[in-house]
Amino acid sequence: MIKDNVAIRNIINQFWLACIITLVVAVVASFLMGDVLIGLTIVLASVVWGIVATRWIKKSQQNVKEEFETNLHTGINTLTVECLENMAISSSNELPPLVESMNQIQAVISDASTKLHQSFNGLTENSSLQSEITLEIIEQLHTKDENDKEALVFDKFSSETSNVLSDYVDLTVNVSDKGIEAANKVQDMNEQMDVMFGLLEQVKFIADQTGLLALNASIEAARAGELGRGFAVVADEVRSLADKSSVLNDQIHKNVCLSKEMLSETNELVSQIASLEMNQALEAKDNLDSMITDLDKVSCSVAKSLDVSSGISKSIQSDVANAVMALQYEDMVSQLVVHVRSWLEDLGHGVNSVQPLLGKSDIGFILEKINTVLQQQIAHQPASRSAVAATSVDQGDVELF
Amino acid sequence: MSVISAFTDNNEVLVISVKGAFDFSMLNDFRQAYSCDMDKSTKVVIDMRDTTSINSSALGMLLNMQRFLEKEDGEIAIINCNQVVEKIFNITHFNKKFRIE
Repeated sequence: MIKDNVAIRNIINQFWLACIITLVVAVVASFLMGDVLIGLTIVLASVVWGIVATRWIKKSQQNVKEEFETNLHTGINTLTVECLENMAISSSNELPPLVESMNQIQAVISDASTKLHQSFNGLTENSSLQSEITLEIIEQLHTKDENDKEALVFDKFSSETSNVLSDYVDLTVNVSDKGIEAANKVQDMNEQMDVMFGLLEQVKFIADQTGLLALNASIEAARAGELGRGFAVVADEVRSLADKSSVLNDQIHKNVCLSKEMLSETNELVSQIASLEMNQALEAKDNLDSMITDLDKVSCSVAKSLDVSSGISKSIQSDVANAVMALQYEDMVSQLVVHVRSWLEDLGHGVNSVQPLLGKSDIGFILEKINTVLQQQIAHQPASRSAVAATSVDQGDVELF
Repeated sequence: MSVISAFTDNNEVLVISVKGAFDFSMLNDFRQAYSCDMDKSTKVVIDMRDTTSINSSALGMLLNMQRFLEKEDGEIAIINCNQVVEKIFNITHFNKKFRIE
């Protein structure tokens, strides 16, 4: 357009130039010819011709311009209408599936959320159960000791075993004590037996001597003849008594020997009773000590493990609580989906109300209608921009349920 | 002789040494050692340096000795015990009746 303007101006300038030249030529010619009137007429004619030509050119330019613009407008209208038609078609094609997608999203999320809720409930229950069982185990490991204080079952057991061992050792010592006492008495008895043997020896000697004396008495009695006959009888009696005495002595000796034998057997038995090896007791004591040490270790590690387990339970519960809170996302996403869907539906309605007008009304009316629809939409959703602006569950204002 | 006794310190201390295994076979010798003639004030010491082992009869003998001599708990000393013997004295609480060194 600008180029044309410049070109037109150039032409106009050239025309006026041509006019001036013509004027000059005319003036010169008139001078030359001597007829100023012809010259002036020619000049006038050329000026008028120039003015008319210029105006004619301008007008024709204007017409061209107007024609051009009208063509342009018509072309734009057609394009616009075509565009709007295509937009309408495209929207009609794509909006329903979008709405459907929104519905599907909602359904999937709802389903997943329900399942997650169930899982977490199950998790919490099981964790509680585990805690309970752990406490039960602790219960069973504890009992009351003799001072009615809480103590581990193991401790009570090991202390009772310790007592049993102690009693056994005391018994052993006691038995040995009495045993040795008995052995000493046996030894004393043995010595008495030996004394008895000594006495018996003496008695034997006396008996033997008595016999000899009686023999001598008999001999003397025989020498004395008749007078010694009474004496001889007495002597014989004494000899026979001495013999009996000897026999008894031998018997007593035998019995004492027997007694001594029995004492010796008794001594043997007593030695067995009194001589108990202490090894068993020593071993038992060692085993008991190491068992107590081990039990202490077990006790400590059990206590530690229970602490850790209890801490883990708490941690599980806190994790589950966080997860349940995070499930609030379902609520948030639902809201978002509802908003998106309602917007899409509004869009769809807008398109539907405009579509029938296309091709039937002029472009101005159509555009006005579209504008009205859009304004209505904007008026409907003032809150949509700020609705659910939260982007994370932390920010969102949700309650736990 | 497996049991040796000797007086020391101007007859104020009687030291009885037991060599080898202190068991029932020592009964008579040990008894003789402590049954000898002495004052009530004489201290008695049992030296176990050469004692290899003891069984319960030895414990019985020691108790009978204490009773015979009419000594109080802690008056009679037992010295130079080896580890096993000391252990036995511990679990039998003999450390209350005798001075174990």
